[in-house]
Amino acid sequence: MVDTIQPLLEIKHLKTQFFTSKGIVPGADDVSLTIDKGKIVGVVGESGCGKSVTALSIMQLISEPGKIVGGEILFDGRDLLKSSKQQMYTIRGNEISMIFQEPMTSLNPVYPVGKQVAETLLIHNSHLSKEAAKKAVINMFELVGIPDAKRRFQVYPHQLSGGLRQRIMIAMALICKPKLLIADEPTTALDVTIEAQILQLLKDLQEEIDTSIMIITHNLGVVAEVCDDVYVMYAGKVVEHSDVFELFDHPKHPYTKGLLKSMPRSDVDEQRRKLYSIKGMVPNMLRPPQGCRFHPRCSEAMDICKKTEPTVVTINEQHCVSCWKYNER
Amino acid sequence: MNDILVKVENIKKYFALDSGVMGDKGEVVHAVDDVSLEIKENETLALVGESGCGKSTLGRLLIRLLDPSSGHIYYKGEDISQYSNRKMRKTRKEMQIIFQDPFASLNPRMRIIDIIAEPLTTHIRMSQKEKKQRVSELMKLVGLRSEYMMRYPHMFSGGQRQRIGIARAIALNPKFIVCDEPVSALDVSIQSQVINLLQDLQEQKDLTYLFISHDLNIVSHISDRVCVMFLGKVMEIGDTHEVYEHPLHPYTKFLLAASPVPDPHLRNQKKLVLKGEIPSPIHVPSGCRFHTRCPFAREICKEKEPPLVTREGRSISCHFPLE
Ligand SMILES: Nc1ncnc2c1ncn2[C@@H]1O[C@H](COP(=O)(O)OP(=O)(O)OP(=O)(O)O)[C@@H](O)[C@H]1O
Ligand SMILES: Nc1ncnc2c1ncn2[C@@H]1O[C@H](COP(=O)(O)OP(=O)(O)OP(=O)(O)O)[C@@H](O)[C@H]1O
Ligand code: SF4
Ligand SMILES: [Mg+2]
Ligand SMILES: [Mg+2]
Repeated sequence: MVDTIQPLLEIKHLKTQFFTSKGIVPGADDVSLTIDKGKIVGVVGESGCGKSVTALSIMQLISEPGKIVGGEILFDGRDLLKSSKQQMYTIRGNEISMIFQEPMTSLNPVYPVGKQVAETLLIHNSHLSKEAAKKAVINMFELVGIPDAKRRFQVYPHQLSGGLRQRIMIAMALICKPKLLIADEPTTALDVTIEAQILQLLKDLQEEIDTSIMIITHNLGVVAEVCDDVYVMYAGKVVEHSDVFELFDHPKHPYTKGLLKSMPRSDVDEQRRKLYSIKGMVPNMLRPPQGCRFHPRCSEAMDICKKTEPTVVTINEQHCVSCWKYNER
Repeated sequence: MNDILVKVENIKKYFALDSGVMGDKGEVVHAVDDVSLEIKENETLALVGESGCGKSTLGRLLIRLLDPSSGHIYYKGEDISQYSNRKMRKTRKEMQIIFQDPFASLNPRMRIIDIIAEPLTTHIRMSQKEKKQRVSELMKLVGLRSEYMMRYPHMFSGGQRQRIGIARAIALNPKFIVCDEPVSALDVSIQSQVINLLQDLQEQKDLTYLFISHDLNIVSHISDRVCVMFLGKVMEIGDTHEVYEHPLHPYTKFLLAASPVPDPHLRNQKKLVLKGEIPSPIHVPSGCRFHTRCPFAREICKEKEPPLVTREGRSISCHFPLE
């Protein structure tokens, strides 16, 4: 029998909008996304394309003036959008946890870091003793590579480097052994040598505790390093999704192709060559373009692209794209 | 052989921190700690290294936006390190800087025309008409529509603002520009537009760049030579191509290996992960300041600081250079 891979998370046609004084911003617009058990899935795209909004929608942490106005989010069989506040509260931090984009704002500056992590554990496991929680936290600190873990239990966030703080965040996110870890730009603020450590750590942890991971990044290098599957977003929409190798070897969407081509590489013969660049700029999300949202910048746009939104085309089992170029047949 | 345009010798910049509330002695940040290097006319020298290693400080020292604690800066052979402000005026026209953050570096209350013309009007007397004329030329040169000159910065995107910063930097026809992370704040699809612009301008106007960046892929694309810094000191300088192909300093090797490569087929080939955190520039480690993280460190590395040794155009500071 063939192993059937089971989806852990299935987002179907998610719509999250922001009702601002200037109009409606379609933060996530008909986003569908699947994360299989034990996989690392990357979500890439440029600033404002809807990556964080998608993640926060899963956690149901969208706040005013934002609102989830449609779609389903199936997690382990349950529709999260139909769950009560109380149910979400127990899922969050326990079964699904998130590392937020701004690490400094997510740690409380006046509590020792160890205590903060222990608290997360105790909230979801009220039967644990304080001593047992402390022991579990120190173990977790060791697992995420915090040197001198016992002593680090007592220190305050400002006494730690950026890389160590990020490890604390990861420890906090993993302390309840969640089924899904959402990491929003987990390495963007870090130096490359520390980034490499954290990425390696995420890969190791994924194997060790078999957590599925959703990594949000704008860095295609990070995607290439760690992801199994990739979703490319543009202006609130998923424009392409694929297995990571297929995406880099055979990108289909003109936006994905443009992004990959515009990356400077360190192959030496590429040096001083003119870089490819996608013309124009990211659209104003208060008035996103008609038809395909990428059409004003697309070098392959046709008449239909300006008028009608492209539908999803399946290239093969692992690869889908929303673009009229592949829609003609 | 190109002439040397800018040269620094044994330059240092220490910042004194305010002494602590408890009355403990004031601490000193060794931001740039005895750096010597040369920049040739018409080349791009890249400055790389991790946050806080002193890149911006060195860039600012070179164009005298900061005064050195000690050491010498030569521009076209003349020692400008002790120039008075008045004497610097003429030289300063030839040296400009482009900042990292296109959002913070433009005055939000000034119109684009005044932002771009600012260096012009402080150095040259010109009529309103001449000013308009010149700004219009500059805007076209960097790919902005000149109709927009009466607008304010907030009406422009990040890439456009960075172009405004570039237009201002080239207004006085400088020879030397310090580009301090000019594309780091920009989206990937906009980055390449700005990099191409910088390269075009360099060709058209014979510019010399000091290009500060922590993105090693961009550096390999844009630079002729590269200087790798760690904690205020130069670890390695050389031809970019050669350094990337064959790094001699252990830090360079780990830095290159850590940089994420946009190719999943290469993902498992470079399991070189540097251990530990970056040490503090206040309490600089003894001997070679990289020794606390270096897997090749031996006894001498803790005791004696390795000098920067130059051989065949490559300089390195390491007791045990890689083969
Ligand atoms: N609180 C809010 N009010 C109004 N609009 C919002 C709000 N939060 C997000 N948006 C809008 O929703 C869209 C998607 O934002 P999101 O934060 O998901 O982007 P992102 O892909 O995470 O970008 P980045 O890479 O900059 O983090 C953007 O156009 C943004 O302006
Ligand atoms: N005005 C100042 N007062 C005190 N310390 C300073 C000052 N300016 C810089 N420093 C310190 O000097 C060191 C070098 O800073 P610098 O800004 O040159 O680093 P950098 O390499 O440009 O880093 P980044 O990549 O983060 O821009 C840092 O430790 C920084 O905190
Ligand atoms: S649908 Fe048309 S405009 Fe959109 S990406 Fe495809 S070809 Fe370009
Ligand atoms: Mg975000
Ligand atoms: Mg800097």
